[in-house]
Amino acid sequence: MAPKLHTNPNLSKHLKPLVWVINVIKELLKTSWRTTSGRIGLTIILIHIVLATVGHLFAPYSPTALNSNKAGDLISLSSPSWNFLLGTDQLGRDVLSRVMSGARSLILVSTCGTALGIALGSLVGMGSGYKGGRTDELFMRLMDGLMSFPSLLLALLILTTLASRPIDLPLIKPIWDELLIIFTIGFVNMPRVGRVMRSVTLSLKEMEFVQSARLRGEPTYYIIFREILPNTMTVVGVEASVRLSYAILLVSSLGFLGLGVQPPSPDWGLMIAQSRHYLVSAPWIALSPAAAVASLIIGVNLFTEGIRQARGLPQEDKP
Amino acid sequence: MAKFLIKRIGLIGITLLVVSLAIFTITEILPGDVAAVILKQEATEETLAQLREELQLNRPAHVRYLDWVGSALTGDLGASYVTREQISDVLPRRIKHSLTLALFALIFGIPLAIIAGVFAGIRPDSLGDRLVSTISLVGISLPEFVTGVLLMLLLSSTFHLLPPSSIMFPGETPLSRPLILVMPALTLTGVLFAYVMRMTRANVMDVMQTHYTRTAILKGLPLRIVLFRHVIPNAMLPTITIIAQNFGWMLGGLIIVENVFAYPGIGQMLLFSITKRDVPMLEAISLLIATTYALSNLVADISYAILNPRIRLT
Repeated sequence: MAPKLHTNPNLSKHLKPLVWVINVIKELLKTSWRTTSGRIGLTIILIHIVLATVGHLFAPYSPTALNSNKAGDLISLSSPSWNFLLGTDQLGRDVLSRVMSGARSLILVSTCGTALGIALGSLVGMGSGYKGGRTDELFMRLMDGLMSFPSLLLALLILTTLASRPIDLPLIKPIWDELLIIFTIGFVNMPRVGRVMRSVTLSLKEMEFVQSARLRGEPTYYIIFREILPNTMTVVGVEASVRLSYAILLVSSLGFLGLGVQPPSPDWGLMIAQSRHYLVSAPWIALSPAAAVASLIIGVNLFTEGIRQARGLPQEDKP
Repeated sequence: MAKFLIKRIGLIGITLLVVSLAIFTITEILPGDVAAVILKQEATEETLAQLREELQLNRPAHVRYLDWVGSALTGDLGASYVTREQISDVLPRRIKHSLTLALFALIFGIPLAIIAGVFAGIRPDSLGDRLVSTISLVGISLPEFVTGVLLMLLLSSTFHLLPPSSIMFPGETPLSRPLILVMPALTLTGVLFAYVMRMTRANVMDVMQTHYTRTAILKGLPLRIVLFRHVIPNAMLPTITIIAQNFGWMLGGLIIVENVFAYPGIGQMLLFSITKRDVPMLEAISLLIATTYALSNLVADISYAILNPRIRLT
């Protein structure tokens, strides 16, 4: 690949950020893999990713199909059997297929939301930290204001206000629900990421290489993106994996409250919410998505724990 | 210190004002007529006009906002759009319910978490530590609604020990039927336990490394005395701050937990007002939660400064 990149210097220049990101991810995976927690966590995450990407090929039924027997009656609330490995729900839909296809939207939405949050937070945090003075003060007060809400409340407020005015563009209409949640997650994560990135920037900007870039007369955007940003990558990596676990928590909680992806699309949170009425007669409807969402978050947290252990970072928990 | 307090409280005030304005503006620019949403099928030209008149929707938005701020400052939060009850009549009962639940969870969770944290922290990487740490990792990872539903399945559907939901009939208080508090409180405790335990563990580990603790151990003091005289008082400083922070954070958990168990507190009310577009109620509850959250963070910072004189508040 390398010689090819050299033939087009512009391409390699544009690909640079991508290369950083890939390197950071590689580095994080390696670091985490050195510890037992990391290995367990990564394995769990991997299983989830595989199920989310190719699971639908093996899913025995459509996640939204209402299954009925030969006589035409709905097979609702059927207990786990060979036909329905994890049973069926109140509408005769296959729980296994629903859990499998629910993984994809949850993982995709949480990851995109986290990425957006990291991007927005880095932009605000680095800009504000580098500029300093009044701008910094103003931005930080704004972030404080946003953080004076529990993240769930902030997400609820953003989501409800935006959700009631759908935009009628043909391209984004089918994924409007998902886009909304991604934006919400990104926005909620922004101030928390911003704080971290600001403090990193504050310490980096006093370093010699940044000072000399400034003396060379480089423009601000160059210093921020070319000098500071690459050196924050390790911090960004850890922060991203912490944020990801909160994002999954938040997305599934929103689903539970009925404000996530709208039915009939399968959503783990919503499945659990609806299963509450059938806890006595059909506990499997609740157990499968509960196990799925719990294992996914445990996996991500174990992964983060692994990085912290390997790097000797303190356990910090701030929702 | 006085200057710090004035500055912080001033900032909280400004934040709340901005927040209230933001919520008001956003709900104002929402498409759709509030009156139509409330009346639904019963909407006719006549009833709509009447309701608009009643809710004073005909007046310009900024007048309504200033009016609302003015009366909110004097304790009059207006009437709910949906039930038409005065919010300042309805809300206190809800707050009392939520507060009972939160305190119940704190009383359950904090001592347990501190004991577990000390136990894990004095012997890091021992079998006991691994066990406690694993439990706390699971506690942090499980969303409240998962813990809640699992508890329901176990304690109510399978063993029939507790009532499946925490619905209260008119005239009942949580304390008149304390059984309905158990599951919601346990659910809230789950996450709280994990955070406080992890912090306590980390602090105990730090203090165990200090010279004075080593000296105390090496001069032959029994472990019990080392723990109670040297380790715990010093390790508790940051934990107290964490508890204050968590109190604010628990409010987010309340929204979920109250909806899992249909417990009539502010969290359930909040979701109700969101789905019904009950703007005055939504505004009141959001501001209430934001205020509590900001104040508990302030208490956390102050307690930290009082307990640790090395920190200077500016």
